[in-house]
Amino acid sequence: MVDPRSPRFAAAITTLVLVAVLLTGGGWLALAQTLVFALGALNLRYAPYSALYRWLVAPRLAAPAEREPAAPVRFAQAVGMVFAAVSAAGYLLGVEWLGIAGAGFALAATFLNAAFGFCLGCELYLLLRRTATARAGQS
Amino acid sequence: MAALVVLLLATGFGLWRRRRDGVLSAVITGHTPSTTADVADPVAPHRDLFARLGALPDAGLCLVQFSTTICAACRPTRLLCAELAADLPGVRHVDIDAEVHLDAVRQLDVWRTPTLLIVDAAGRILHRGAGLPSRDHLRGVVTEALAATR
Repeated sequence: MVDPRSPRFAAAITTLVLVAVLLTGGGWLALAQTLVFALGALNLRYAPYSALYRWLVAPRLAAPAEREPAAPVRFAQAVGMVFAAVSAAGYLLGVEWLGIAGAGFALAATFLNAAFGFCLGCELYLLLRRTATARAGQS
Repeated sequence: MAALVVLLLATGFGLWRRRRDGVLSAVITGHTPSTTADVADPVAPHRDLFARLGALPDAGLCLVQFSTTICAACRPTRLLCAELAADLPGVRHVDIDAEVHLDAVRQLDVWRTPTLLIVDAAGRILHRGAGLPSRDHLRGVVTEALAATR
């Protein structure tokens, strides 16, 4: 269970990074963000922006009123990682539209989370499960 | 600039979604979106399904929630529904793992979590919505629906 302000803080920083990626066409920056997402998807303790929150911001705030489960946050990190990886590959291999598309989708999801508390897992996870099992011919 | 377009579109979507999130709408009978409806009972085509899920109330209403483990809004919704069920006589709450019951998910047209269905003793879906509802809104809808069952 995590302090819900930590993922929102991380999402705000990520939004800025992804805007920078789009503004600069930075493939290496996109790759760096891919790694940041990957760490978070693995374990939120390793997520760099969350660590920043714990170190800089949390000590200045009162304890959170409630906590939220980590699984949905890690899922969102995993989805972000996929889009950021596509973007990095696009920019670094010279396929610019792919770089833009990947970073664009990652930015949309991250910004929605930061500004609206949008839960990507709530929207996407069941959809993915339905599609996966339908394709496998199960019910 | 791509970044600006993305942010504008995302803001538009975010505002639109925020308005609809957690809002329970009345279900017009005979208009159920299922593809496997029981044709013999068009008014309550999902009655048997709800019975199998343990989501059919004997009397009154059942708040049927569909959740997954990857859903930040599901836990607060569950707590809210449980609170209402404890508070209002004649109201039950059931939280169904959507991943385990994909057949029900398909039959009931569930795409997001949490999805909340308000079901009466006849197995009719009176209201449905997706997203965390506000306490006042849910209480209002449930109280009104409960009064109509009496």
